[in-house]
Amino acid sequence: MKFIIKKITGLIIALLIVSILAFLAFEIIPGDPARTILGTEATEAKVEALRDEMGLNRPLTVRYGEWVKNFVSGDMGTSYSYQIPVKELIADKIPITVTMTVMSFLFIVLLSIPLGVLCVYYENHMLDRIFLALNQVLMSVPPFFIGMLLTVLFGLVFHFFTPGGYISYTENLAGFLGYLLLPSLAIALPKAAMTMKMLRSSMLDQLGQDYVRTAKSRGNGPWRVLFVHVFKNGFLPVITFLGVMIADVIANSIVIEQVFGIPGLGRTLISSISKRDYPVVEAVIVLIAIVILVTNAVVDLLYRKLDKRIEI
Amino acid sequence: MKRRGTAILLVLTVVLSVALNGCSGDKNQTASATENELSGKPVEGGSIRVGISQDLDSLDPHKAVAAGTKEVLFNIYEGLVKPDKDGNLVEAVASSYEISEDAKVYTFTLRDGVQFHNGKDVTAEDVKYSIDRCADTSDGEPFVSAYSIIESVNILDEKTIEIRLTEPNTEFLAYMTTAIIPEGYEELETAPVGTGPFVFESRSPQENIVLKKNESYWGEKAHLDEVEFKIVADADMVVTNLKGGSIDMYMRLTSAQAAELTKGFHIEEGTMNLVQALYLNNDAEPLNNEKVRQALCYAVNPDEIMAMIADGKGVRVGTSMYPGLKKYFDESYTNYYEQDYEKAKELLKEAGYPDGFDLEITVSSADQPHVDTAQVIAEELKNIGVNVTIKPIEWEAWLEDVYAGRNFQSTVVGVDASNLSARAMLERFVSDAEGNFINFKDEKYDEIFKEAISTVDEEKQTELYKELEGILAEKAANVYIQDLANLVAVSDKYDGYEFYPLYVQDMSTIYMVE
Repeated sequence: MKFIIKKITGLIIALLIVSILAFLAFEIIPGDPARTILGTEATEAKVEALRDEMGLNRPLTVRYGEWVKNFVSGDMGTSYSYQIPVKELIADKIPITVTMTVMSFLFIVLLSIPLGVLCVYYENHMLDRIFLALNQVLMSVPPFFIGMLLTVLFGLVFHFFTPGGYISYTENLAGFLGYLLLPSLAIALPKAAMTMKMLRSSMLDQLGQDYVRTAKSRGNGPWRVLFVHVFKNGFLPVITFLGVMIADVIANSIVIEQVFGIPGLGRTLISSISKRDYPVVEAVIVLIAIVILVTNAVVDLLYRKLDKRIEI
Repeated sequence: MKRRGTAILLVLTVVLSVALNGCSGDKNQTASATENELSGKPVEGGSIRVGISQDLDSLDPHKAVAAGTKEVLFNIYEGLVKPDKDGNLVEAVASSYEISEDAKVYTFTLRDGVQFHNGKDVTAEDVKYSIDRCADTSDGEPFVSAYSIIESVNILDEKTIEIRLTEPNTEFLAYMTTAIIPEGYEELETAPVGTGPFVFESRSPQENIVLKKNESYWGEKAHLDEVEFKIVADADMVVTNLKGGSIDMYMRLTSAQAAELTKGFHIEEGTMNLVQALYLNNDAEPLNNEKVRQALCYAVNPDEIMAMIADGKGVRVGTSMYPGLKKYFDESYTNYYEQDYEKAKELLKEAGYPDGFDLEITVSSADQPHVDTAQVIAEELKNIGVNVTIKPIEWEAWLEDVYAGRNFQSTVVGVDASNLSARAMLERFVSDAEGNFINFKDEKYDEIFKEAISTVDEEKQTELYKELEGILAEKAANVYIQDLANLVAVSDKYDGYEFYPLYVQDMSTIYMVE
């Protein structure tokens, strides 16, 4: 219980800091939402009038206080550029980004764990080396480039999918999931490579331990030793790594959404930043921060459950 | 062991490069094979997906400002009159109009049988409401600043409406393209209703906007049943998306992008209807010296810029008027300054800068043609000792610092016209004009402009406008470059694309071919 209270207080403080920073960032960067809305034809008087109407002429602290008050009561404000409630705008986008994040995460886990164990089993064999080399390549290529590569390869050469042919989940769920396969893979590949490398070295570390020799001498086969004994211990540090990875996956999905033309949270965030659509940006940033903080808390909790020696 | 690792890496590299070559090889093969000949016959119906680079800034036609939004909304809304592809104003919601001798009273007769998309007939009340909404000054300034000269909008009878102006204005018809909307209708932002050839169907932010054919359109009905404008946010994916078939059409391609689309597409070439120039802050040292500005004009060669950035595509301009506005465009200024480095250096010496000076060019980083142009200019100016630094900034920052704040030395940008009048291009250079971001000040210019806008005789007025263009060229207000080429890729499944002398994408003329 104490642990949970501690975590929640930390979470709230972190969220406050994130939202303040997001507010401040817009104070510092040039560009005025009112002028952006009105464009080049606008006169000074018109811009001033709109600023007044939008409440931008009030001091920063007042605006922030009001935003926090509204946010807590569930009101995220109205988007400047779409004139619809931010909540409504984001609600349509969340399923897209969440699906993509979950799919990427599944790819990471499903690719890295079996391959990692396989590489440990075949340590220094041909197979191990091929995967290590492939790992190096994948880790050094940024996801957006992998994305472009996959698009060209599967879209224009093999014609397995239509580049930019995003299908909305409201229209056709299977088509939607199908379209998200490649972008999720593009995000997952470099991360899976890292996870696999980490699992491999962590398990190899364990292999040198005394308990492994004991387990072997008891007549356990090599696969059983690997999966039952070594994997359990070797996987612990990887869990932390996977937790941190969630943040990375979300960050990468922002870029990948641009490449694949997916109208998710990331693309909404980027276009809202350039349009100085503060209410949307604030809400998206805080949402992402919540997701990341909560996952980290869950990872901590999980970690403690798995390894009783750890005190948090 | 180590060596084997390297060998594997090598193999991988080869595999990867083969895969990559596979894609580019494909391109080379098709380059020679296709001729963009259309053999099919037009068919009615079908749908098209058009890629656009940005989401629309507003669906309210009176509030939308981005050119990319207006060109889409053109399909949904109409004014009393609307522009046609030749740059004329043709009757739309109005069937005829009359302008009084003194150019102070405009009388419009409404067309019979024009219906809004919600099925209601357009009435004189709707027209009055729409114009009054744009002329409303309760927020300080009207939506359309030119409407500040409207004295009153009067409904004469069911079908006739009269607009009285406080001062004579022969070009006011160009402003009557303002969209007519249903009286008191409040949901324009989410459910637009107009009278145009297409009806708003749906919109998903950051994804698309879908229009359907207006079956009860008063004029020539559209050929296509459905048009989807799809947002392609990543410029690098445009060609891939076109080739992959997720979009059928895309406007404003670079010449490099167009060159890649050899198979299955035809490229329509037009102009963007803007004046691209190195705009000079006439108040900033040393650009406040006319000779310095002229020296820059002599040093910059628009033909060289076009050759470098767009394979020579584009149309040279020599003053603040683009060729699309045929009536007003004066060709004689196009080659007013021919590149001559010696003459430029001499002018700089006369102005007191024999060793040149430092010049900062601010440019919106997202506009690749302008960034490229700035780079060519920087090289050209080196020849006369002018040392250029290019400062790329975000468009929003450009609006605030350069355009509104006028805090810049020079900038490369394209300036367009909001309607088909010469005034739309030339008014901004009047000394105290709000849009005069280059701080151009010339008494003679102000005088002639005043005379021009109050001249009722059309021919004389055009002469005066041309005189103004001459002043801008002679005084080297800016280093004028070109009207950029507008390359439009259209899938071979479609034809009928038309260019307009304004920011317009008319989807009603496009049809599918068999």
